Amino acid sequence: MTTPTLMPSLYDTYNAKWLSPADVAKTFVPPPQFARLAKRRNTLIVGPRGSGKTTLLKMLTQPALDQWSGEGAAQLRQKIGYTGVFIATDVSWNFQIRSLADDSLNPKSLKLLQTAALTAHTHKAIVEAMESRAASLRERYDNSAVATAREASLVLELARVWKLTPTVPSYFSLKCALRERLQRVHELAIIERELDISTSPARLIQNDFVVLPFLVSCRNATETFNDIYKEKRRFWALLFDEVELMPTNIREELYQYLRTFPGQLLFKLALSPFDDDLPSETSQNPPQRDNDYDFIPLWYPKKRKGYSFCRALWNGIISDSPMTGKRPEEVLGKSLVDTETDDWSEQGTAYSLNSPHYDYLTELASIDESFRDYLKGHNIELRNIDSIRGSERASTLRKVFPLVVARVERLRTNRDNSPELRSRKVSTIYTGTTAIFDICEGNPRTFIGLVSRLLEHTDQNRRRIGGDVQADEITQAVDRFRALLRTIVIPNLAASRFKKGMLSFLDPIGRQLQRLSLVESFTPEPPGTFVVDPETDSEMSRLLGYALNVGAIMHVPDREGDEELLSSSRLRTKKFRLSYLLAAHYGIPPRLGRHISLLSLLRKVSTHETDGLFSPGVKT
Amino acid sequence: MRREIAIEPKTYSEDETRYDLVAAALGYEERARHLFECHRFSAAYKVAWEFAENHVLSFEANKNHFSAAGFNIENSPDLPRRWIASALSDNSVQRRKACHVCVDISSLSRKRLAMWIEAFATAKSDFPIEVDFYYSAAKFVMPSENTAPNVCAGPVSSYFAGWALDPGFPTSLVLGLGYEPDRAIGAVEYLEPKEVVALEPISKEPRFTTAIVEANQQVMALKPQIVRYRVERPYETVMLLDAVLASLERRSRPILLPFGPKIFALSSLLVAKLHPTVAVWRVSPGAGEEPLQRYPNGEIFGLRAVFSVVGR
Repeated sequence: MTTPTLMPSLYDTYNAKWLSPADVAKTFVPPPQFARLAKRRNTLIVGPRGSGKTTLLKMLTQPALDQWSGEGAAQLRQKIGYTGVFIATDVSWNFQIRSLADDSLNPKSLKLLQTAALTAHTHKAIVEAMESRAASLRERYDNSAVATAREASLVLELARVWKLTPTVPSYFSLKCALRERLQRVHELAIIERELDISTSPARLIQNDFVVLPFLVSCRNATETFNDIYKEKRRFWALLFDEVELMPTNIREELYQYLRTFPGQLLFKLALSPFDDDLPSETSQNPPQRDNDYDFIPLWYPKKRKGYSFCRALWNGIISDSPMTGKRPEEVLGKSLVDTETDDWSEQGTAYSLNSPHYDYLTELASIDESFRDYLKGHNIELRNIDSIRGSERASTLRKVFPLVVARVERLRTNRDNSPELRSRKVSTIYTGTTAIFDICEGNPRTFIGLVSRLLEHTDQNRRRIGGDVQADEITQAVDRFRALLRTIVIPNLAASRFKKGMLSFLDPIGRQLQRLSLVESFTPEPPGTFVVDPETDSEMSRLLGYALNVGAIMHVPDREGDEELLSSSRLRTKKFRLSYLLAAHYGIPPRLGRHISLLSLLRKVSTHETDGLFSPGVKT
Repeated sequence: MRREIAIEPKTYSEDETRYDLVAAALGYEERARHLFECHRFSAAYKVAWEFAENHVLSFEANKNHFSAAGFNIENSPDLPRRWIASALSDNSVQRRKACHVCVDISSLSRKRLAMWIEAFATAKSDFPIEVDFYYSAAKFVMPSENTAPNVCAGPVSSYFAGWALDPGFPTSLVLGLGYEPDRAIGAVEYLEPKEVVALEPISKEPRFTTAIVEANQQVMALKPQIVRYRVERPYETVMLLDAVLASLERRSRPILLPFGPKIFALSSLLVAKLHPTVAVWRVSPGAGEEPLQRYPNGEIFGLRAVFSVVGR
């Protein structure tokens, strides 16, 4: 076997999951949310696939903070005031834990064993974090003999409270003992399946480690460390990744820990935006947002909010390349819907006679009667464009220009002289700096994946990457994303009417929004978002939830800061849009537009187009 | 009670027709009855495990054949456990203190195949169970053009979930390649492994090889390590898988995902029991998959597994 290399994902070339925290730190670009996440507060960090949750949690660990040399690193290290414990998890581990369940295992026993497994796993992560913290302190204060004595004292004390018997008082030995404990959990599950099911829980609690209280055992350990290493005021933060994958009972327990508890233990949970087992829907006294914990969304409903992070990512990507120091505009050019100084400096506007903007407007007017009606309705004669006043130009022409370009690129007139769509690769409205920022939406995995591939097209002369090349790469990125949506695993889908998968649901939505924007009579603000109707059935809501988690749709709250974790029921009445990467497939301009009811949108879809998927449409 | 598994090569022999238990799968593929059309097996217990869905294509013909050949037809979920228990309590088995079983895996689902192996490995008896697994290879048919999404994903059963001791250790994926478009890449995206080893089946049928390459272009673009295996040499495949897993276990938590020929799924399930940390997964379109006729091409391959009791 060769040396293992980082497996590039279908849709990107960067995934922090299997990078060590120190390696994550080497290329870390902090997003605007990082400072808030780093605060000494309980936190829910929520974002779709690729939004950087794992990276951010790993950056709160000691090895990552020690390694990080970026802007603000030293200040954060000083300020942070807690030691981060990264608790890794993944699909495979969670299935392993779930698979303890078996018809022949008592449900109470299952809960006991799953909690015991999580506790042992967390304890091991705590020991690893302690080892790193101790090493960091040793560099500052200690000599070797003192360090060894402290390690021995700590290990002996932890072994006592965690009911372990390490062979020697060392971190390594303690970790080995915790591995053995995990093995023992599995053995107990196998044994219990063979014994009387009704007396199983009583038998299990004879094992002292099975009844170790999770929270207390973690807190005892961290306080012991603080005592021995004389860090009385230091906090510890348990950083749980991919919480949505965990068994329901464990997830519920973790949510409860977001309530503020006395002591110096914090919880930071990373999860996807949709979860059908939300705490407030399952518990009497749920933790309160803002009071007990901070809620940090990692997506940008309004595209411009992600621009500064995209610029920072750009600088990070090119820092070791021949393009170092170049602004994205110098390499990717301007977006078609942006204007540059040259475009307007002479006339004071880019919308002057014979300008590229004028050309697009006149071209659409020549093929689209409804656009001619629009111009007529606003008393606009394009040949007199130079005489249109600035404010009027802004509200009538500049506002609709992205839509004009999209219609020009996708519309043609058929033999009956009526407009119809033509198929083509991704529109050039998606090329250029801000357009690429738009379709990446501040999602680091998307941005790094796309921009890295674009930069492969630069030559030694470091010339600008042409629009056609960009459109080709974006088309490929869209195709890869659609392949992911076509094949991504959606549990329990088989029994639903959407058994043909996520695209069988999203494509009709996309095609309807496309029709409203590009084919139907021109309107300055066609619908670009949809509201999930209160009567939407649970199958549809659940599929929307998975689309949200994978980043195919985005929640657009009415007000900034109203982003929230959603469940099937909480999805209803909320507003969403297609991700701009997916919108590019349909040629829809990246803008929010008006909103439309989801069910009314889907009712317009012809039945044969969707095998009648949407005719039930409502709850029964 | 724990049983250990010894895997041995097994060449199909026309003379070897006497067993204590013979098990078949009753589905819609014509090859489901091929082995039993070639030879009349003699056994005290004969059972054909009926699928509850897709009673189409050759289902009725298969059912008639198994009925006429004296097979009991059932579709209960605990069939393997019950029929093995019956065979083990048979006087002849008690006298010989050994049980000899034949299972035709050609049309078994991966889940049912896993249930048979679990039932053999956990059977409550002191006697060794010697199982001959047979596989009738199919003539080439093009895969369905209608790609159904992946709706079932997870360990093929709790028994095959594996138990890795360090979830911080990266996942690796041992991916048996099949010719269903996009199926494997969906699984890779779902599992997000650090490393992928792709096992590519080599067949005498060139169209099969071409279809495999075409269906897995996206996986190949990820540049996995590729290991080729010959479909008609299952014991070699077992040894190959054993070596791959032994190597991966040192640096990761391997997951076996056996797309491709059913004989590869058998090899994967058996080898996984030699590596307790390893999980065997299935990712499938569930009932969304279009039934596809598979005719036998006349070749029959086999593997023998002996399940012996240890450490009572």
